Amino acid sequence: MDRLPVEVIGNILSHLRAARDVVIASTTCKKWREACDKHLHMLSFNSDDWPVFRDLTTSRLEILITQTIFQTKGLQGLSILMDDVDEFSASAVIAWLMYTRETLRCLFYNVRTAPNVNILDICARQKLELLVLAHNSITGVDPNYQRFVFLKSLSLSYVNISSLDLNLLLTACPKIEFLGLISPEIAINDAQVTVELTSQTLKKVYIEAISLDKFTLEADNLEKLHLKDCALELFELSGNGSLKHFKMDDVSILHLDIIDPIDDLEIIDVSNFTIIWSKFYQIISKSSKLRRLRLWNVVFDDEVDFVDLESIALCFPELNYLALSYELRDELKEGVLSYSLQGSSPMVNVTALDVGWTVLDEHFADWVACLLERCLNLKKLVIHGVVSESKTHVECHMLASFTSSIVQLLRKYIHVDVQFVYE
Amino acid sequence: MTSSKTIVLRSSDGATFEVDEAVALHSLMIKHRIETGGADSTTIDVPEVTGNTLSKVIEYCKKHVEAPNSDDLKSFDTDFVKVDQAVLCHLAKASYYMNIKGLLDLSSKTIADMFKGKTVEQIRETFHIKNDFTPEEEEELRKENSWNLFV
Repeated sequence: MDRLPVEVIGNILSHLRAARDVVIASTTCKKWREACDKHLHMLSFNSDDWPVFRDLTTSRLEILITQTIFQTKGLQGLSILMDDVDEFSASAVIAWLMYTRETLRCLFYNVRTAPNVNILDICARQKLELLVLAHNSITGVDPNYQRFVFLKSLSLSYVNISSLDLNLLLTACPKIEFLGLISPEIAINDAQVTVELTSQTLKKVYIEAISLDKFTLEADNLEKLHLKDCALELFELSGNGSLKHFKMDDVSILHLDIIDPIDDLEIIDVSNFTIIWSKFYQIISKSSKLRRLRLWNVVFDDEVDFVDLESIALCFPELNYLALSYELRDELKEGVLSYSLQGSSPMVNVTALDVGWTVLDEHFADWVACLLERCLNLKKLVIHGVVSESKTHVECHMLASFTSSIVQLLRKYIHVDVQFVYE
Repeated sequence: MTSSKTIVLRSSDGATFEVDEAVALHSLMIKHRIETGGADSTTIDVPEVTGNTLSKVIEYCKKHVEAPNSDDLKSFDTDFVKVDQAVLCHLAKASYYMNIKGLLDLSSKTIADMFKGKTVEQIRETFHIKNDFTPEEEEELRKENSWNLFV
């Protein structure tokens, strides 16, 4: 250990990250002290790292952070994620950022500042590549003055920003590849809450907990789009057909408009979503290269709607993973079930299958049987079930009946690795 | 199509290792030496690294060059650093000199994990670090550092 070059020790301390551990290590000997002063590239102050943080007053914390940061030189990464702190004073935050901004490549900051600090102003035109910001406001974005030439990844959570500023911010980041937006407070311009984003370089977009009248995303190089817990009246997606991975979880979209040739889609993952199957199918049916399809807890808008296995088999010949949850409405069950199982086109490339029920009935095992018949090369099957805490006699009987049916069924498929996941 | 060109690496204690050029190029230091050393440089000296360590480094490079996308790469890395402290330090030092970022970060992270939550004395003991501060210097460190109340 004593023959390690000081730069390597600096690297070790940078992986240690947590400020208290780093400072303690730096007091062991002179070389370690030097490593901390001159060769430390990453430093973090996270409330999870040290329980005593919670017992310190805010001003004490500010002093601690200031002293520790000011002892370093050339810091490339700074993380201040302190959930228990109400707010830091603007002067302290400005000092930390101004001291490190010339070398800072990544910044994580989630504490409110009083009064509000324009972090973009301070960090603009520097080396920032990754910015994760929460609980702060962003106003008056000026792409001419505030350019983030190196920023690749931007993540904003619980941030106050107007939709105009959000789009301007994107134009200020000519190399941006990832945008994450979690529960933003979008200032309302007109009567409608609209967000319009345009970027030629964005590759991945993650949006969570947002409610908008209109959301337009124009991204010619978008490869992955993930929406979670969103309510959008109108969602317009346009691009160059580069989208590969589309995921929606607990999303409600009244009008979905994809002005994008999505022939290259490889993964579709939709759960807890209300759809009109025929419309949705129309959109995705051209994605002949689809490898993974998951439709889970999908609620049909139209009572006679159903997931048509035959179309899935015919349209997606390269499919190697399929996840379908069994949802049928009582009134139409028998009819719809037989209709949805019509046809027998095989899904030869499917090697992994996930099926599940939220309400078990006597047809579930038959439905699984039909799926298994089509998946000639299946290797792995996972059966997900929702089991209520207090089971009625009928429910117990249903579960037992299902168990018998499935055991019978799986005797024919002994080469398939089967797992049960009950919640 | 793999090139059959091989490079010989010579450690500080004279041990030689023949490796595929593609594997050797995983070390940016070697890559630089080859690119600037002219076409006849087939033997490269690595005087900062002993034979034992060099052999392990080569093992790492081989795995990462030959199967960079394999599913077991993570478990390979985890097992690779299940070695004693001295070996880890040698690996860190070697990967620094040979400019192999992946191995440097892997060994640094593993060593860093051993530090978490330890006191100064515990660190000194575990890693055999000699305290070379004078009592006056130590006193000054204690004073200027707000953390010391809780150290």
